Amino acid sequence: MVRMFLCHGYMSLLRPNKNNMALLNVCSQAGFPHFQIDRMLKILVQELKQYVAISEEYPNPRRSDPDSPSYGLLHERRVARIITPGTLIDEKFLDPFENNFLLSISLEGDVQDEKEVGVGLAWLDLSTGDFFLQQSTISTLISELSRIGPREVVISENLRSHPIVKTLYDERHLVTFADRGDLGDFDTWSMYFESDTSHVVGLGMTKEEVEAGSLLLYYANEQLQGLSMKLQPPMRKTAESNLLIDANSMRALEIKTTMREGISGGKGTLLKEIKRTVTRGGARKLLTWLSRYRQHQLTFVSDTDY
Amino acid sequence: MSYLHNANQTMIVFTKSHQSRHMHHLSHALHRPHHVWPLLCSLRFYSLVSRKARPSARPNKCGVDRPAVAKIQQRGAKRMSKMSIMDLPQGPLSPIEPLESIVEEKSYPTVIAQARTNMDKFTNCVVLTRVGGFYEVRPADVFSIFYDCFVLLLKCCLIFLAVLRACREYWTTTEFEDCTKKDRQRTSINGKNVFVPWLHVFA
Repeated sequence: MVRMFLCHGYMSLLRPNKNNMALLNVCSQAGFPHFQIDRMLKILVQELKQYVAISEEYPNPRRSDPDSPSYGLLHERRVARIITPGTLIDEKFLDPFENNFLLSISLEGDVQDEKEVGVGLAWLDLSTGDFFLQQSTISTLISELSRIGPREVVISENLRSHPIVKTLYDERHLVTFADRGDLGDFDTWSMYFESDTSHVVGLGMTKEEVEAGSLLLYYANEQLQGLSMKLQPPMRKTAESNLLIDANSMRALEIKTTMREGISGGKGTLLKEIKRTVTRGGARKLLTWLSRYRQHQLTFVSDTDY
Repeated sequence: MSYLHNANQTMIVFTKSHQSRHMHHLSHALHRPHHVWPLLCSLRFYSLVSRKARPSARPNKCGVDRPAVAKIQQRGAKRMSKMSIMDLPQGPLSPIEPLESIVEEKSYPTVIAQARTNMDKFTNCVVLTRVGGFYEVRPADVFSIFYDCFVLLLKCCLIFLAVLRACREYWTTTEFEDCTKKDRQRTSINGKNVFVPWLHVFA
């Protein structure tokens, strides 16, 4: 891949010296053919965990305007999308048998030391439009995260020095810091949903959940750069009705991923043994079931009462 | 000169005049070739400028078609000048304005300027800019992406070198079993017995 980048563009970049260094840093380019974009995004975003901004060509509206800087140019370029590991939509390399969750965390108040600080979780999948909210605490946060399995965790900028960040890094989550937008209220969320959401307003969301949801929607909207986002109405998850398995047991029992390589649905996992699903949606639903058992589903798996 | 048959009359005349002048010099060249060559060069062949207007420091000596220059030239630079000391400015100098900075803002082509704006705007991203059939990336980004790979490669190389060195040490020590390692670390420089710790590696 390096060779692919380097073979196009200026070969002088291989041997920078004091004369071309400034030029190299500013405007020298290396590139790849446009039909390789999916392969490159797979490597850059999924494997190397980079954030990629794609600047596309658009017909230049000010082509005949002699005053504009882009006078005479056929195209102008602006960033169409920012692709991060959590905000993949319909890329070809996206695994359709798994959810690609983007999750945000919001903490209660300024208390930093206590274990029982309330934590608001909100997570969504841009490809399927699922949107969930949950209230949790700091002590159970890591277990919740291992159950959900987000690809990217969004945290407010002012929590950068919080000890929770280090815990997230230790658990190998990809953490992004984002400014909280002006979406403060539940009422302003409605523009992001496919259908009317007035019937879920009275669900009694906590303040942290609303904050986390606002942060999440704002961040996702920023990354999509104007692409319309249509989500399903938010579903509130409650921890009480589930049999909770903590992160370490989940890993040791090899329920979803293998212990050594961490391959999802790898050989020897429970998921691999019981997986008989046909459709993509079914595969995703099975994963959700495995993550959070309902207590009466321990003996048999049935989708009648989900 | 067949292509001149269709040309108009003036063109032919013009050509003829040049040809005649050319032939005129050539006729001289038959007699005094060493006089004609500098003349040909100075005329630049088709130059219509008067030859007298050409500045020359040295009088031209080829005097057949050009008369000798009678003008006497005065040469030599002015080496001494006099002025009164009262004419020099006295006292403290009046403050002068500082020079304007001559560092000009670099201007780039619009495409590159737009890409640059995007890079400044999205600092934590790798910016892929579509230019025709290609997506372009800043090489610095490529290096930063693969920085870990490069470091890993470097470490591998270092380990490989260390292993190579250890192997070499092993083989050299087993090859000469009669002399100890200490002996092979000794050499004589200017008749003195010197201990060089790394000498056995090159031995």
